[in-house]
Amino acid sequence: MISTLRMRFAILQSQPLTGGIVARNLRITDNGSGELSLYGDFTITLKVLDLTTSGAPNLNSLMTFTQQVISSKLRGGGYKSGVSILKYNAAKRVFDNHKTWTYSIRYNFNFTVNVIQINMLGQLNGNDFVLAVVDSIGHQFTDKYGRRQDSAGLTQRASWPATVSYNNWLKDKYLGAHEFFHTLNLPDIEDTTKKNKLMYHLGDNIGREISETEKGDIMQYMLGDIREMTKGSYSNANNNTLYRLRIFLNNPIYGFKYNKNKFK
Amino acid sequence: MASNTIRISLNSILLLLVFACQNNSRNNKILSNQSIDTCQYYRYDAHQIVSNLGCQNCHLLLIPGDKDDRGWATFSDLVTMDSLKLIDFVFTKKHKGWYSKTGTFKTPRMDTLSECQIKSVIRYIKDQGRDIPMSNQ
Repeated sequence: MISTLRMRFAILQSQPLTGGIVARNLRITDNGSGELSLYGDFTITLKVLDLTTSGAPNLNSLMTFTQQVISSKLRGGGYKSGVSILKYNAAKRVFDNHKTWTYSIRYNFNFTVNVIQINMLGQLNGNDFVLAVVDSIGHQFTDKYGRRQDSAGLTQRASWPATVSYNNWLKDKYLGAHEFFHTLNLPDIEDTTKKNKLMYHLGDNIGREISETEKGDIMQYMLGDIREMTKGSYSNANNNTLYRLRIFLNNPIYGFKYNKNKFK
Repeated sequence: MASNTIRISLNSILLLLVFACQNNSRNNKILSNQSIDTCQYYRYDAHQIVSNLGCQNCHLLLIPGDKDDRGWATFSDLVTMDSLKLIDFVFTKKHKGWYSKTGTFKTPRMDTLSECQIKSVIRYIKDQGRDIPMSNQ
């Protein structure tokens, strides 16, 4: 509620929208046969915070690579059928809060992706996305086959900060994008028939694909509340990013090792 | 007289214990007929169900405490609900028949979920409030 008010206040004051997701030029077309086409220009910003003890000399190249991967995976929009949402009234250009309908949705979004480094926690806003680079992660997990596995990257769940261990990121350049897609609400895949997927997270992955369904899920997550489409522009809701980063990194069960002097 | 009473009482207790501790073959038969629960939780599958149902289209992914202006339960609100209440809330009362075979969502996807799928969805929702991160090896 507060973030919504803040956003509306910012629009009224013509202040630039900020945050992990900023969308402009939003519009909808309804083909009258149960298909909505959504259009808009999205700017996705991922802030990278180097918390390593000895520094991360190759961080810039890893960030550039991650920016390219995220951009390429989001290109081309997405499609999702059987989406149950509020009924759209094309004449009035509003969603009816009292009627529901099932649509197919075409996401014709254009994406600009920024992956930028920040040096101070003061540069983090509540609705920013952040990728923290740490020395190591002690957390282990058990996969669906009952095997214990180490963690090279860790993300609590959608909208939460992502983390990667620097040395592991150097070994697997896709690690940053994988973790960021958790922030964008994609789950891990352990099915051995899907080793070609970017979200396959066991050691023997062989590919980097994002399926059309996954892209549809990401677009759906980015939009959040479908009613935003009628407002022309919006930025994502408050994620309490700094608070979440703090409790995530300080949770002893994850065994993060990082330079605590950089996190004050 | 008193020692006889004590002796009889002790014998009675002993006899009772012997009978009580014997395995009952009838109960064993019942146990052996029970089926093994083969329902396994896999986060990815549960996520797909939640995604296909479109839960988060209406139950917005807001931080705990933030409210939907329509008064609808946010996804964080669902996470804090008791599992039994959640089953009742999600699958019966609160969706006004939208997901029934004659409802506006037409495809009766929620009605056709198996018990195992329902359990998985409930666990998926509850897990959103627990410290269970997503890792990459």
